[in-house]
Amino acid sequence: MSSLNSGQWRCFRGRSGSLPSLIVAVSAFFAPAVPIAQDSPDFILPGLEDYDHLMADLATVKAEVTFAHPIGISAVSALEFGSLDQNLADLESVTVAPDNTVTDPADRVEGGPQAAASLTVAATPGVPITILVDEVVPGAGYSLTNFRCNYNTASDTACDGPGYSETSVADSTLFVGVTLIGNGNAAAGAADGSFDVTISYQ
Amino acid sequence: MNTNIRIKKFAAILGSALMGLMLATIGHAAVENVVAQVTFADPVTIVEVNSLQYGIIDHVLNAETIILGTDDSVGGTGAALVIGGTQAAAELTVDAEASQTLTILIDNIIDGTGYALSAFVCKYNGGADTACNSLTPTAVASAPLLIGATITGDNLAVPGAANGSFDVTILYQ
Repeated sequence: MSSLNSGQWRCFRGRSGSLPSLIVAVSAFFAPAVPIAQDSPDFILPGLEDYDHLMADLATVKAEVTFAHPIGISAVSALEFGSLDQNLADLESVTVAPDNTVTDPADRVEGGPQAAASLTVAATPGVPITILVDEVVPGAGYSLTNFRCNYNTASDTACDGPGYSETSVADSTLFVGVTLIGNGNAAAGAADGSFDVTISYQ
Repeated sequence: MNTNIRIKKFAAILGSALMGLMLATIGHAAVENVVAQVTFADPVTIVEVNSLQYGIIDHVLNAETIILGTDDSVGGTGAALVIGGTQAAAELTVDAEASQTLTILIDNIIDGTGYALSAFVCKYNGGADTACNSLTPTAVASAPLLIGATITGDNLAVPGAANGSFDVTILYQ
């Protein structure tokens, strides 16, 4: 490039240059730029080089992922009503609370231990969880209703229906109490019922 | 005197050569009408409605894949490792000049600890699922853009939040 400029300089000064060098210099001086056809993808009007970018928009989107240990539930002890009077009448109730407190307004508890169900729960701490009791199967002569749960020594909370929310801890105990309501059909003998406890991350 | 004559002759030759070259150049000139292509349009705008949500995944995720579809479906070899939370495709609202052709670009992908993000699938305005960077839809004034993706575990997951992110750029072609 420097030699080209030098050649041009010699041209305009009209001295000390040979004819070949002048021709090269002048030819370069008049050489047209290689044109870009207007239908070429590279053809951009001057000043509009950033046109597309001006018309664009950008959003940074978060990909939300939380890793956790699967929740583990292990039953430590069943819900125990003990021995009840087989004369339990319709709508008479016995309640065992999560703290094992017994409410027996009709005086139908005859013996045996009364205790809330106890389950150990292992989970990744700090994650919202739902505690839910469903799939309730009553025994002959009664129904089970008004389940109350106590997770990690918090307050007793209704846990049937849609369940309720808690925040997980690594290892804790869940106590489940319930009210047994007679239907007038109790008979002597074992009359076990059952229910499912489901704990899930929200 | 002879020297002056030679200089004048040389100048005459030089002038003739220059004139010839100029005439030769003019002789090759051509005129082409150039169209100034301009299209006015509303700038594209993107508003995030919700992020890409995988929810809660078992931390034992190793090399399995979890595919989150634009319809919020969960698949892949690690689908059973999704153990909670909400699974949802990312949803953006795209406002643009109707009838213009759009280009959608996914880049600046940031993986979370324990997995890589890939295979982004986009669904614009209820159309077909298409690899995002191959999607060139015709714009409507305002439409949803749903984005699904695949995460592939790398056996480094630990319990806790592990969010990633990616950029979505939309522009007129």
